[in-house]
Amino acid sequence: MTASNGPRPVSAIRPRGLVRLGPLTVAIPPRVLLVALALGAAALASAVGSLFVGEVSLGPSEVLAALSGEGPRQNVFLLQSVRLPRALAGVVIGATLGLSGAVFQVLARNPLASPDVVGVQSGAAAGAVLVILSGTAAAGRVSTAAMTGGLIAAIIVGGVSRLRRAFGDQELVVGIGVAALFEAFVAYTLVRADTADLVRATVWLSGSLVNVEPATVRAGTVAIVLAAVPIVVLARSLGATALGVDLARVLGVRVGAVRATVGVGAVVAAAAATSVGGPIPFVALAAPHLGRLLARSPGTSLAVSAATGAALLALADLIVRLVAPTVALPVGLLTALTGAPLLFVLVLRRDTVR
Amino acid sequence: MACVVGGAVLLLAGAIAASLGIGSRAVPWSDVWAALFAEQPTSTQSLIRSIRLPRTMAGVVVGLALGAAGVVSQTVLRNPLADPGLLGVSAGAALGAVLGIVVFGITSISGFVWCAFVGAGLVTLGVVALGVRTPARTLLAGLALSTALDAITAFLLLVDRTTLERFRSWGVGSLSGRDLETVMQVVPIIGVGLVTVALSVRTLDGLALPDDSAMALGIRLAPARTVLLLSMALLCAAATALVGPLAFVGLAVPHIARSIVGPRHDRLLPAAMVLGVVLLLGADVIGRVLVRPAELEVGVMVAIVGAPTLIVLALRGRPGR
Repeated sequence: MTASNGPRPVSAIRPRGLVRLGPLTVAIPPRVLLVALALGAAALASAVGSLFVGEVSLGPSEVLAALSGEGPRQNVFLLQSVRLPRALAGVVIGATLGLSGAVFQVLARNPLASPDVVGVQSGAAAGAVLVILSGTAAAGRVSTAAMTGGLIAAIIVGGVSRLRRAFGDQELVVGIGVAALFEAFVAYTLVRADTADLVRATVWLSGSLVNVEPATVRAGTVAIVLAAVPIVVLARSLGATALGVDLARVLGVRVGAVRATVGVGAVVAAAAATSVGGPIPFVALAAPHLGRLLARSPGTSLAVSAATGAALLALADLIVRLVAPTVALPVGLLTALTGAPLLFVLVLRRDTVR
Repeated sequence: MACVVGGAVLLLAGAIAASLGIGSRAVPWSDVWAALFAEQPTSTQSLIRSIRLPRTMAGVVVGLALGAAGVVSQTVLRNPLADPGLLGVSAGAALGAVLGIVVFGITSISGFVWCAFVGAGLVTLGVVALGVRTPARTLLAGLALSTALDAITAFLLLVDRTTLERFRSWGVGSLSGRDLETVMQVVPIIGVGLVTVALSVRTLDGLALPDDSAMALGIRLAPARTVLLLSMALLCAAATALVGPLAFVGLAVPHIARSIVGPRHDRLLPAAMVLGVVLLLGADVIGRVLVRPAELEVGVMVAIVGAPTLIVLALRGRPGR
């Protein structure tokens, strides 16, 4: 056999997967690009599919007519005020959780990190439970309280531990402590709640898209888009910080400023997502791993992670609507029941997990 | 060193005495002392024997178990966020307890304990059977498993409201209502786990190092990790079955202990065990006193007492590890 096993000559190494956009050239491994596009397509397909199914199944022509405001009035209401916001919420919340989960895993360099290491979901849960148990049913007030709670928790963690300097084990430990305090508050109030309130709170706490309202989805999406801008702009610098502080500085990255800006963006986005759909578990934690394992890339890619999160949540919500159109099954259960076995299989199949 | 050991013994004795002596009803200390040894106890004394003694024993046993399990999980999985329930033990225990209620209609605490233990045990065997090659892999596999089991539990609770009613007192974590017999049934299991971990102190020191260095010290990584994770799961399963999910103790106590005695396991392990007992009993006693004559669940109090301690110690300079 003449096949050479030695090192290839330099001229034979061609950079693969260069994406050119006018004057910009970005190197993206083909498989990463493919996985990101496929997952994004899956998310969109699930969202579109969920417009057709539910308690009442509608045909394509009926859906199109209702979306443009024609046809029977109950169909128009059903699509424009119920199904479209819900489908949109699934994609947006899923992508946001995936994105902020990836940001936190890169910032903290810890595979178990998620926005909850600064207490976002625990704080949001505390805020929402407080409002639910005080007897107000309005989704808008619950959502505002959740957003406020999540931000308060993150501000406490950030303020106490001065996250700007670093994001090491010390900060993670402070985050655990603050999150535990908020969770204790939730547990304390729930044990004393009467059963009707308890059930409502339990549904909210397991994460659900059933009761999303057009207004909260709109407000949440605006907040998320605004918060995501600094993350997208600074994504390359964030990637450089993953190489280590010294190397990032050599590359001209202002590490402290980048970490702080991206971290704040991820916190606000995650709090807004939680305020719309409740503390949907597992997506922020698992999407970066699922995306990385599917794309077989060594590092965490923000885009792949966001696409994974969107696909996971949109698909889970579609399953909820197909399986149990009349039961208010929380989507958080389905993200866990679909994502967890997938993660399990991927982890066991791939020998090289970072 | 001597003063640290002395301090630990004093703390431990103080916590146990407080747990026996302080409660919703005031009992003179002489009666408390007499209650432990009296041949024919008065009604007050038998109250202490049948209520406060088992409760204190449960706190001691569970505190020791969770303290040790927390140290093992953080070291073996190399992650400061790894609590001993991470491998699916807590989720398995909760699912076992819920299935016990749904399928077998169990209402007694001791019935819960065994269902939870069987659930946790099955999950543990599953994770270990899958092999523990690298910590990162174990971590993710355990995470996936816990999530799936928790989702099944949540589903069962949503479908069945009476079960939700019965489950929530176990679900928040509490030391009360366990009789001495139930506590004693768990003691041998926890004993086996503690002895195994105690014999592996030097291995734990090695496993905290990078893989190469650990192997150079003569540690066979895979068997060492399997044995340690198994005993960690045993400790956590028994503890969770007895008092409900109190994973925060296992997560917080090793960090608190590390900031006091440093990272060497021959000190860290005993310190974490002592602090586990002190935190659990201390939180329980405060929970009894704070809203007398009602009580706050120990699961809530542990976070209220433990979290600020954790935060202050983490900020006080000497970093977590």
